[in-house]
Amino acid sequence: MAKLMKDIEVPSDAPKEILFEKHVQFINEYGKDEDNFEYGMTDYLRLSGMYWGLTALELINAQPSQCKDNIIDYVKKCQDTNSGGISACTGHDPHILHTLCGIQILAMYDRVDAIDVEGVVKYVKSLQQPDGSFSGDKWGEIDLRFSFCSVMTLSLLNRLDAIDLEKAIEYVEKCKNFDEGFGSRPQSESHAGLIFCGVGFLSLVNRLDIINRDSLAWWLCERQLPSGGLCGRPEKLPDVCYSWWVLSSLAMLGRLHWVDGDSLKTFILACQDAEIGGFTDRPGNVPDPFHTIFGLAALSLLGEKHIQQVNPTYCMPQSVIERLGLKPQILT
Amino acid sequence: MADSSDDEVPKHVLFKDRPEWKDIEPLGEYDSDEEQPVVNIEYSAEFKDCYDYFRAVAQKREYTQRVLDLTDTAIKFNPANYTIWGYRFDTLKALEKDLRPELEYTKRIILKQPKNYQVWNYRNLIVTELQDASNEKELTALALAEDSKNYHAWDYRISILRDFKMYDGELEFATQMIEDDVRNNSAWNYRDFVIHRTNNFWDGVETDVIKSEIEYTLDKITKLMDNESAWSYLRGILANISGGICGSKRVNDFCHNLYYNKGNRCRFLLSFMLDCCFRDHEVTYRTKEGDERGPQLLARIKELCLELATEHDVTRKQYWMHLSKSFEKMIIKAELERQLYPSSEDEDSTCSCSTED
Repeated sequence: MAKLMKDIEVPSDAPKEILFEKHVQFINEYGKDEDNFEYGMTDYLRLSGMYWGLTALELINAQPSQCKDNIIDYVKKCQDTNSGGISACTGHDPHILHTLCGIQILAMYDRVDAIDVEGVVKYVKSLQQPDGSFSGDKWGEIDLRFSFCSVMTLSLLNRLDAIDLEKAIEYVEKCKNFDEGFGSRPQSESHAGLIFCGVGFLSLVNRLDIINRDSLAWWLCERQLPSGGLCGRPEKLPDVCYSWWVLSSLAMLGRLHWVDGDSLKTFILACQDAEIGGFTDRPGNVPDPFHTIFGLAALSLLGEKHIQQVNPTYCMPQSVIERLGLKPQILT
Repeated sequence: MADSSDDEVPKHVLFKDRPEWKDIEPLGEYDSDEEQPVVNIEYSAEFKDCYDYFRAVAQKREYTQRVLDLTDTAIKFNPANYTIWGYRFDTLKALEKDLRPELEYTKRIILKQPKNYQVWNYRNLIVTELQDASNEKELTALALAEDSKNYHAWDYRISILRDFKMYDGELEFATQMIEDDVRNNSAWNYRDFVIHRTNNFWDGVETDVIKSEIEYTLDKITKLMDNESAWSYLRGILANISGGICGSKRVNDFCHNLYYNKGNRCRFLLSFMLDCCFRDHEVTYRTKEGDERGPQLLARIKELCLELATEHDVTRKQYWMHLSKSFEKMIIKAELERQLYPSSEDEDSTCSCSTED
């Protein structure tokens, strides 16, 4: 068994076109289904869920079923007046993951003014540790993801000056491994999701020079399996969300063309649910908004014409990033 | 897990029907019925009841035994809710409870939900508070026995080892995990961590540890050639010696033998050999030796890349062709510089070479 490469086979009857209408329906219906108890279980990541769903709709030029004012009000309510951070939903503690998602939603709708921006800046600042790392919340979990979310939040608010950037960069550099990838903490195994965070962070602070670009890009394109799909670590199964983590990293490194786009596209399209819409991790599984946004965003990077251009660093529509006047470093 | 009694909530009594909770007014998620949630969530009645009471006590900052019991139920409903875990920790502290039972409690949850960030982090809080990590190796080993690539378990083991300096027996643990699955990249990464934490590598010396790690890795590669993790580990080890990737004669001979005598064309072997060529060029750049060898190296690289791009790894052909082209550019640049500045070449090149390592 150990000698076989892990992979899947793309079923021949899997979807081959993008099911736009189905996806709009899927996102707008998500969580309204009375039988969908699973969704009740995910209140602890609701703002993230909203960011995934709303960004997906934006990328395919569709409107959310809720009016945007309600959405903005909801984000506003999730801001904790004490710490300034934003929580997953009302009644929860603030966390950097949701603070970022809240800001991304507001930035997308050009309504950052709706919340206490200085509060958010204060919150992000409070998460930075003496070694430059960031904790996710007041409980002190340290992870490279939180470094990335923190600088992205501040970058969207144009307030990168609020933290010790040099220290933050130093920490990110420590998370780089012997194989040129990044792990969640120093010496943690390289993982495509965390590579996205590391590369994304360095793109935001204009320090991609830290990376041995071609070695990392090779590691990333080694993630492509014969099925066309991308996995996150050696010897793991392909998953649509890695299409995003790997492709966006390659895009920032200017090496997007090193993967085989045609077979990857076939794999991603095959992960659509032809009946209810949405994308799954692998063909035949249950769809969710998380895989839906990353499937669509990856297709955008692959040049799909009917999807808005996505920015590889922010995972937001390029038009929004341009409106905000942001210029993350992208190597050519 | 055989014990299923904790999974289910048999005869669950709603908090609103419990006499000891009569004094609390449950707090729904929305302020009024007219409010429209953006994302409509259908909760089960039990779930909603529990979380409504949790919101009510959290707002009052109540830290009592009944709240501790409530967090227990809330965690059963949703162990991924990080607010609950934090509140549980605060409650235990406020009640000055013994934290030891939390080790058993979190162990049960971890083994059922080994990919739950919150519970691993909570466990870390408890262990740090107790300053006792004596159970952690066993726990992570159990979690890894279920899923040998569980990122959380490896990551946790690394952070515990680092914080409590418990490296004894860990190289053997890595060896065992690699023995179980030689393709397990997590185990190879762990080996790299342990080796670097327990040894000093200085001045590029090829120490006995490095030599034995090279032997170990070559042995694994011999048994399974197409193993990205082992090749990658080999590069990591060689980065510690002067000469880097092509600094070990043993490895160079090994590759040479595989390629020329055994006709092996595994892409990781070819890629390794390519990187050696690049390194060779870097080191000998603008030396007489380098000038002479340049065209030879170029021919070699072009050949290897073409083989990979057209035959052994067509999926990544763009990468291999890029390598070929960029090397060609380097050779042309070196040749141009040699023609333009023939006199200064010796001093310059000697300098850059010796500082290289």
